[in-house]
Amino acid sequence: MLKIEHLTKKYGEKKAVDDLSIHISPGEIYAFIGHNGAGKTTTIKAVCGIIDFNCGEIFVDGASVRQDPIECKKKIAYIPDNPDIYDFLTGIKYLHFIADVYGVSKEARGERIHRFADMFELTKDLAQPVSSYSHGMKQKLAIVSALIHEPSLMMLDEPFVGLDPVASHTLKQLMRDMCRSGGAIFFSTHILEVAEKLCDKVAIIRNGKLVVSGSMEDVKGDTSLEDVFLELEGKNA
Amino acid sequence: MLKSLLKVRLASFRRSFVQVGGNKKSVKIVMSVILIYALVSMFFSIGAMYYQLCAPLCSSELLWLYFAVVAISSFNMCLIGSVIAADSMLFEAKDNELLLSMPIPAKYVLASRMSMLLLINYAFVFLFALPAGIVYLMQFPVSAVGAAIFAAAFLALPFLVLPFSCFFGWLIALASSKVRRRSLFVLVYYLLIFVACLAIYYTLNSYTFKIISDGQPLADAVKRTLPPFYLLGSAIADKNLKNLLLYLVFAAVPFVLVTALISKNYYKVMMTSRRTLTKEYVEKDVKALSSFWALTKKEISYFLSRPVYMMNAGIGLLIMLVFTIAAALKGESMLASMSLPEDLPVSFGIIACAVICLCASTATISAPSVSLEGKCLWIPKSVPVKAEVIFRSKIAAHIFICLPFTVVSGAICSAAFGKGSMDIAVFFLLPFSVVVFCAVLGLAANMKFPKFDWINEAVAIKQSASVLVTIAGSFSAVLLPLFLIIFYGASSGGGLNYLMLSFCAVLFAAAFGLYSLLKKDADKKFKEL
Repeated sequence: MLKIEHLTKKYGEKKAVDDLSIHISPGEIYAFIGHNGAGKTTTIKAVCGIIDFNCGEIFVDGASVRQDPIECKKKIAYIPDNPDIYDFLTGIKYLHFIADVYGVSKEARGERIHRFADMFELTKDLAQPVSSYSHGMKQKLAIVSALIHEPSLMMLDEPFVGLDPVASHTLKQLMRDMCRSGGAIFFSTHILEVAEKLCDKVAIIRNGKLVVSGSMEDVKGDTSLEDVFLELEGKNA
Repeated sequence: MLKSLLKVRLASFRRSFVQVGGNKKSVKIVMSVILIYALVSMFFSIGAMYYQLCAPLCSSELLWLYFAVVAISSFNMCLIGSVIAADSMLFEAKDNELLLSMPIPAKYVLASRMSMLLLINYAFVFLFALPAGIVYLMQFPVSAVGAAIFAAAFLALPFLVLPFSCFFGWLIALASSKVRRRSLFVLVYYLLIFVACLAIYYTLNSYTFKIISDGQPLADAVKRTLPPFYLLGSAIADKNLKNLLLYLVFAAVPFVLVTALISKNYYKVMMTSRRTLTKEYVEKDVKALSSFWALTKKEISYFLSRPVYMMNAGIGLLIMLVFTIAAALKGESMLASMSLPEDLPVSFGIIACAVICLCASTATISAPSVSLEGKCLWIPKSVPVKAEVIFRSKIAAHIFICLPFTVVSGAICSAAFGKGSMDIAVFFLLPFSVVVFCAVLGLAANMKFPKFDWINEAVAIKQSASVLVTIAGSFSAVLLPLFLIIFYGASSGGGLNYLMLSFCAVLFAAAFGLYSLLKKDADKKFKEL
């Protein structure tokens, strides 16, 4: 579903991501872990076609992000770490805007908005302007809008920040359901317990370089993900 | 603690002015030159107005009225300029919650915010009092005591204004918390201010002549109804220290009372100004749109939701409409007031069309449209839409907003001044071509000079390089050729309409050329933002 091959992204002389390669198959939930400034957000943004990259290639379901960005974006849903959303629109207008831009039919969007907004207990607030939403509500709206076109690959940057426990649980459930139906999820997080319980695979990045990756069992072995992460951080410090 | 709060306020104040030209040194220099030019022009026009007043009032022994008039003008401008600032700084500031959560006494928060309001008021007082002082100095000798009294009186003036600013700011906060369409409410307020400014401007000349010819009735009225201004005027004119002291009491007492009142109730005021209106969601049948129309609709929604955007980028459209109606009703008298050369063989319809084009060229809706994406830039960057479609939607939004105004103006002009199909074609096509050209120019300027680090969107709308470049570009590319065509093309025979339509074609071609340049590597350019 997603192939990142030898990705390198520089900001000036500084390498934010350095020769990173990751492969994600359909049905997998892939956790992306690293310290602040390690290069997680840069990688996610490069996959989503938001920023350009210097070297390497990224393929989404066989299509190159560089050559065919529109085709790739149609398959991806992106949720940023800080969901800044057009605050002059109401929640429902924002959802319709996203549905229009992704070409979702009138019938399909109606059913999906209803289903996902209900799931995240957002329905009654949809007529309110986004400017009146709390951080958690904006995050919920961003999630609902990301699901509206039924993406096959979700790129989530710290998706659980700001969500209440019920919404977090709902999102985890949705992530599992999506993978069961053949989709794939790549998400960054600092909550290692969530990553450990939810993910099939994990990649740990440090200063732009991939330190370790593989199945959750192979990476953590008999210890916890937190122990592995701290050990790797200690070694590389 | 207060010092730190003041530092933060000053930094944000400075930021909104210093960052006009972004980070490029050359752009900053050009922008600074434009700003200085605007400031000097204002100084001279205000000074010229006072120059007419100073000597006649002095000779009729009403010198105090001269200083009172200067103070009244400054007071009005301060009040108009600082009421909205009082609402946004005192009652609806974005960092109120952050500061409330900190162990900072309310009086310090209030003091830091009021200091900024005073600073705004000082800027207005400076704009009026300095030219007035210089004009007086040019004509009469000034003693050190006189200069000191003048300085003290005008330095105290912002304190006299502040209680009124706070009161009206509080009224706005209170009223806007009770209405559902706050943007409409604020827009109406802005429009009232604009109309008031226009009214002041148009009546100023007649007032000036009235004051010069017979100032006594006005002097009596000011003395009777506006005692602080009489005291200020007579304190400066007669070097009367007692009147100065009385005036300072007039300035200080309301200021201290209002400050104490707000300080005591500041938490309560901040809490009650929160808007709590809610609307229940009801599922409605919505038509699916193409990505282009969805993006265009989004751009238009943004424009209509922001009074500051509408007022700064679209006020020319309103003036266009008002002018066209006035031109149709009072064409001949307007023509006479324009002081055009008598032998100019041009119909008033053509002059009206040129003014409509001038108004259309002041619409800068597309010029900040990329910058205004701000922190939401990730949305257009991540959706499966080509950058070219995003560009087209921004240009289209500009055109759709302007179109009703140009069509109505064209129709009024055609009905009032149209003498044939060529005239009608000019009245409709020329303003439209200006709109199209300015829409593309604005977007191109914004792609060249984007500004995403704004905190208050007014900075992107009013003070960014792209807006200034667009205004300068549209003026020189539209008005200069139009001026040349009207003044020199008219004498070439009966082909003025052909020249105007040829100019239309040139503007359309220029817009197309500019758009073709924008389209080239559009995705790459947009990704690099």
